[in-house]
Amino acid sequence: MSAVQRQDLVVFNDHSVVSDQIFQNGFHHLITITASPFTSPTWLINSLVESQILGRPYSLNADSSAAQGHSRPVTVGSFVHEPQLFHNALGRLKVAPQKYKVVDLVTDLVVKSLGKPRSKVYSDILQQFPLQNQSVIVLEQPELLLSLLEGSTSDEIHSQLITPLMKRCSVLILTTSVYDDSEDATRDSLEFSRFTLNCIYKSIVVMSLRPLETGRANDVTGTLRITRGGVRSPVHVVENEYLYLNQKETTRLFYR
Amino acid sequence: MSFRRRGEVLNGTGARRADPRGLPGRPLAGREIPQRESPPVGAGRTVPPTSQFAKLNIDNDVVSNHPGIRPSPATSQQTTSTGCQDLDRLLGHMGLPLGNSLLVEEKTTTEFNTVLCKVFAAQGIVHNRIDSNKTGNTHLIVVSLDQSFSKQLPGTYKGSKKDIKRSKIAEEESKLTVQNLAEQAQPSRYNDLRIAWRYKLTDGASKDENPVYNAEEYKNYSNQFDITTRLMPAPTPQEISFVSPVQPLQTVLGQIDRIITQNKGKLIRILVPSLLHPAMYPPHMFKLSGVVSLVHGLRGIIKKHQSRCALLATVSADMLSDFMISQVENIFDSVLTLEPFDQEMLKFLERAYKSQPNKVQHGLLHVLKLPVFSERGEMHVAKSEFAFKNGRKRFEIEEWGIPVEDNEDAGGNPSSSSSSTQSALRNDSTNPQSADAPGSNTTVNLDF
Repeated sequence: MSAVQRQDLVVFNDHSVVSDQIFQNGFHHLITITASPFTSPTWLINSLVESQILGRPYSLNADSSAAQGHSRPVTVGSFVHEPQLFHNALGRLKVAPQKYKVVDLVTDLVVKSLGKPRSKVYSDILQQFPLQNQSVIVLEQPELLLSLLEGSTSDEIHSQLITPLMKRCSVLILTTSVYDDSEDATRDSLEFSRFTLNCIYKSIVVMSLRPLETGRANDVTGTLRITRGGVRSPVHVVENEYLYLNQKETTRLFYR
Repeated sequence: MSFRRRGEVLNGTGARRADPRGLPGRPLAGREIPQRESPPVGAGRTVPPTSQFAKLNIDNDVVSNHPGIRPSPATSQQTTSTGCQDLDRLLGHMGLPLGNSLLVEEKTTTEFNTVLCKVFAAQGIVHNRIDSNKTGNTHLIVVSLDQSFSKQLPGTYKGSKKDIKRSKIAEEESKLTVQNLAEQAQPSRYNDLRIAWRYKLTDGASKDENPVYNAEEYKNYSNQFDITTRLMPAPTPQEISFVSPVQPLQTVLGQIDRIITQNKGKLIRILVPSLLHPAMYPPHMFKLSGVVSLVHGLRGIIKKHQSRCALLATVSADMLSDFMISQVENIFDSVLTLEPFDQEMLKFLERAYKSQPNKVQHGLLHVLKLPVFSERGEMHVAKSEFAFKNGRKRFEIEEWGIPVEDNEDAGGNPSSSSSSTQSALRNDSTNPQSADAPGSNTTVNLDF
């Protein structure tokens, strides 16, 4: 694909990735990123963190004339990736480590949570995220708690972790892995589907990453679809679908 | 004009001199020398390089110059060999990057994954024995009940029978005897070459079949193993530790963490053969919370000691539900699936490769995730693109292509097949009822 076709990531109508307007009026919003098991959303998380700290996702968007947003404090927590991965990736994007915080939810999580009541595990996780207005929290794959904590349900995680976490910041960006098998009707798989549906229902924007339907290709990695969520956004969401190519630590977007 | 010796250190402790070719104190445009903080004048003692590396936060836990570690050609990350050269190549890093985990799933009831487990384990032991230091450089942790596993590890491949004989002769010739001293006057190889030159055999070393592995720099990085032999002597408790999965999860994870801490400075290879084997794992592990907690705990340990740990796990995919497998796959950095061929396909391949039986593949290998690349967001799902075959001396992975069956009957007597096809067609035209039953008389032999 030629460089002419390259597109910038625009989510809201004011040509921004995360609009400044949604930080006003003291509301708490949720943005959900869904990804298939083999298209990791790490690059998108890094770009969103970069856009919140530097004002614009410089690594993704080539248009230097676009409006620059405000810099906001960001906290990243992941149940699958170690903090070093984010430090390395954000360091390459020239994001200063003082501007963001990474919460380690991988190392010793199992050992620490074994034998504890589930409510204590949720509150311990919550305590690691700072309570800050006008801030952004990114949480990667919280649905893993459904597998890690025996007896946990989607409603419980939403009521005891996701909703309180939303109240600790202005925008919560949540990524979840989608298990796509409509014939599987076991209790566990239904809880997972229910968790994802709840997230979509609460969101103002849903970003969905999927591999290319025709199979693996050298010039396209997959599709990024941006749609409205269940909650009305204060700024109009530009629904769109991009093709993206992830290659050698860089990502480029193209129009479908 | 003055000359400066090459060995002389350019960056002295004093103030930097202005470039004589440019303006004083202003470096040439585009040729700026990176500014370095010079140590305070009069500091006197120079800082040793090791402490400088420590400042750069380079983990010096693993012994330097470890024979089993090399940088990945793709990402420069420290990588260790899995013991299978084709698998190393397939992973895209010439091995498994440290701090990463690999899951090998196997469909049906075959046990090809045990070969990969054994070579992974044997490779660690061989690395450990290269080190002249008595404490060793590598430690293997096996999460399994089967302690006899350590006695089943394959020995290194020492070449074909001819090669072994040749090496024995060379060994004998290298001994200091009167006969050998007399023969040294005229090397015997020149006698051999009198005939060899006619067949254009070169005098030099034989062609390097695998330049990446045989490179002098990483000559001990990966070995070839012969699964019909045994590693002698068998690994000792100083080289291999077994952790029983029948204990409470906290104990299992605690033991592994303790072993890693005790073996400070060593490369740790963690092996989980036959994850969730019904004979080895207690019933509560077959719940989603049991297996995911174990795998997540192991991931946490690897990431905690990511500068010197790598994990290989294998699982029989048919025993678990698709949902459980998808959750386990989600936690691993790289995932491969072995899908052995059924008997019908194997018979077809044996027919196709009648004259070359060693070319018969044993199954397909699907790639689902690759270390580091998939984590970045790249999509590396490659289904039915590779095939594997297990031989005495190698577990080979190659690109898959359906072979063309060389049917001698069809090729040797084309008239018979054409006549039968013609007769079948004739029957169709003469028998009007055939149109009503299309499946009954329209079978045409389509042998190529």
